[in-house]
Amino acid sequence: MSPAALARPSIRLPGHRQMALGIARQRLAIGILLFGAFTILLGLRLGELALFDGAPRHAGVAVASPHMRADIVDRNGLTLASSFEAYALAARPRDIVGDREALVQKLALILPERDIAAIRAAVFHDGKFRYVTRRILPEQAEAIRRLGEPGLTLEREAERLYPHVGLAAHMVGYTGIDGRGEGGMERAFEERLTDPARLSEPLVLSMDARVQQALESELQSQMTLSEAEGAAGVVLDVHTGEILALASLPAFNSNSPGGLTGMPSHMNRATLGVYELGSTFKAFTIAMALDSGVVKSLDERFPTNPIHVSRFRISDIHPKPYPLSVPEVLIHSSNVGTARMAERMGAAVQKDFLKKLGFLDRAPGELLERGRTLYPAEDNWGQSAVLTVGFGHGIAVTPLHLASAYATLVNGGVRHEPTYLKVPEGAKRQATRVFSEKTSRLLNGMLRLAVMDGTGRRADAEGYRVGGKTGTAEKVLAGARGYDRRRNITTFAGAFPMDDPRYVVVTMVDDPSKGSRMAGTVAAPVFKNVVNRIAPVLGVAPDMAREPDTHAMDGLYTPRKKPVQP
Amino acid sequence: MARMMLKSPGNAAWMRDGSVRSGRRGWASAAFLIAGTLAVALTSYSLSLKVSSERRETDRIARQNRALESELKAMDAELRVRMRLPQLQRWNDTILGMVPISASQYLANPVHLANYGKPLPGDAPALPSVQLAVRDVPIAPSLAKPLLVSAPGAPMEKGATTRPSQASLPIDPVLASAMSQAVSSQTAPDDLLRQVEMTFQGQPGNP
Repeated sequence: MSPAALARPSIRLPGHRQMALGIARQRLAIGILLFGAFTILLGLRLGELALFDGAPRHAGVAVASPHMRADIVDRNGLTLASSFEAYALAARPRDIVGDREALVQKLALILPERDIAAIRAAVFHDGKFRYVTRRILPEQAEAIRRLGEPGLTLEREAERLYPHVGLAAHMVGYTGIDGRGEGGMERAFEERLTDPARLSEPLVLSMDARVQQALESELQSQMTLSEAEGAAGVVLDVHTGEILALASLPAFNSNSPGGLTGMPSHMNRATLGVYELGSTFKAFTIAMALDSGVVKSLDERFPTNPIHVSRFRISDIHPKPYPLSVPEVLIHSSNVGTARMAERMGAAVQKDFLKKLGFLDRAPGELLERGRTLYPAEDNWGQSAVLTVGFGHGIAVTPLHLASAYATLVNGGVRHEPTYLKVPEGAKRQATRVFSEKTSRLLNGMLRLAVMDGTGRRADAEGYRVGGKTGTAEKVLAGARGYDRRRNITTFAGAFPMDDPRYVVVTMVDDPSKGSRMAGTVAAPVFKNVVNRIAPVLGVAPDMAREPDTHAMDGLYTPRKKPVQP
Repeated sequence: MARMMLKSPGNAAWMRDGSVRSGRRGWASAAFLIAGTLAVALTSYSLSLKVSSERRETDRIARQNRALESELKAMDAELRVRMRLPQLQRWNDTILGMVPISASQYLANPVHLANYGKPLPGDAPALPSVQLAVRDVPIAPSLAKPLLVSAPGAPMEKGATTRPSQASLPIDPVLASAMSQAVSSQTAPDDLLRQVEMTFQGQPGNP
């Protein structure tokens, strides 16, 4: 070891100690400053939290899961749709620990309604994420949570329940897998139903579930009886325009709508399907003719010999050998008589009335499934169009259009826009006058006579003073021009009680194939049964002593001799 | 530094006395400060504890309410599903068979109701009907006879201790036979009726 190396550690320069002390103090000072700054920072943050940040965010109880929707209830508060909390089960196959096959077996035990192959496919699949099943019950979710498998994810979501299953399926609608409304009111009021501020406030429909049930079950039994392709019906309050029932058959189960929206059962025949509703239109033509003054008196006579216009020939099915008075034209459903009235009126007046009645617009109401009516083109509304539209051919409308127009016809001549939402008691709705009160009163009497002495005898619900008109029209050939003579659309449109009309009922049976195919024997009995069932519910009492005023028609028609009981 | 150390003994005399006093004051104030801080801290902490426990309790109750609410909703839904209208319709179609009330079953006013009280056509003119306080069902002879008729030849049941004919009070045979005849032939109600009719017809105002 060199002397220099030995001497080095013992060398202490003067001032060295002071220097080391200075450095230590400096470091200490920096440390203290840092500590102080950190403390001040904490203090400031505390102050900020206390003063400016408000209440802690997790203070509220976690309640509503996403996709919760407000309930839908009928006019009496009966629940038609409501939301429940449910869970969706998803698998993240890469995170699964342990035996996958054992996991599949355990899941299959918990989810008996789910196909085991589907569970296996989700658990074994080669991706990051896959749903095993949606909308499972909280108990099942709890059981799955207890499995403790990190590769399984439970997501909260909402389950929509329709307690009445298929009742008013088309009107109420349904929700898709992601909880969004995909039909009916669910779709039309998507924003209102999902508004967080109004979740606890149910959407009140104008529909009465009891009336709806009566309409649907009567239509269904007639459909089964006559082996028809479909059926539709509407019940409308003539004074408010509220839709009390709207049925379209075949229907579907709203809880599991399934399939595509293009299926026949998903088409709303009452608001989306347009049909040539035939003779039910004659009442409008007569009202138009009386109201516009082209027919001045009820005793004007119309001959029934066929009319030839361009390539068409218009004739009556059972022509009478004598000229018909105005009431007789309706009672005997004379095509020729109404065509002659329409001819006198001309296209402009006819179009104007049809416009005011809403026949040239899309189906009324809040639903988004609104059919566009078919009518002659503007440049093609010549004489033949005027004549055929006069007795309800060449114009295709929805049953809801027809119900709304009948309500206008019988309620004194004012049109209220139909609505699916309950109108508050005593609220005044906007109304436009279409027919004069006098015309409306005369037509009420004539419609009553059409039931008592005309084609609608089987619709006469005893004591309820029913009035209305049958309509039988041939269906348009699919994919071809012209009509199919073997396939009919049968309709009955009417109101009750005719001395002071309150409700309009439209029943339509599409293509009855067994037994009679005429409206008088297919659609009219449905109308009668529906009225018999709904009138007590709606507070209309039968009265055998009352009848609407038909004095103006006295002597202008031949009353039926013997009452024919169906 | 050396200068300071030199200077300090000069000040020591007055400083020692003062520093003891000020040291005591400092200690007291420090103790006071610590005690005060402790007291405030403890009070605040206990308050904060109390508040947080209250908050937790309200949270728990809110959660419980929510759970009950959803349970109620689920039960209500189940009930509604069970009594859904299509189901009621099915029951009615298959079992109950109830039909809507017909027009003739409605009674609009009391006059309609009174119409139900009309006598049937073709009936005899109605007499004032009188409800008699007599039970006019036929009296079985087997009940009447053993009481009122002595039957000497009839076999006596063993153990039967009393018979009307052997009663301590002798029964007049003529009276007994008359009574039995009256009871068994049931003439009394008819007689009574006739008597009542006569009474009514005899009264003024009655034809």
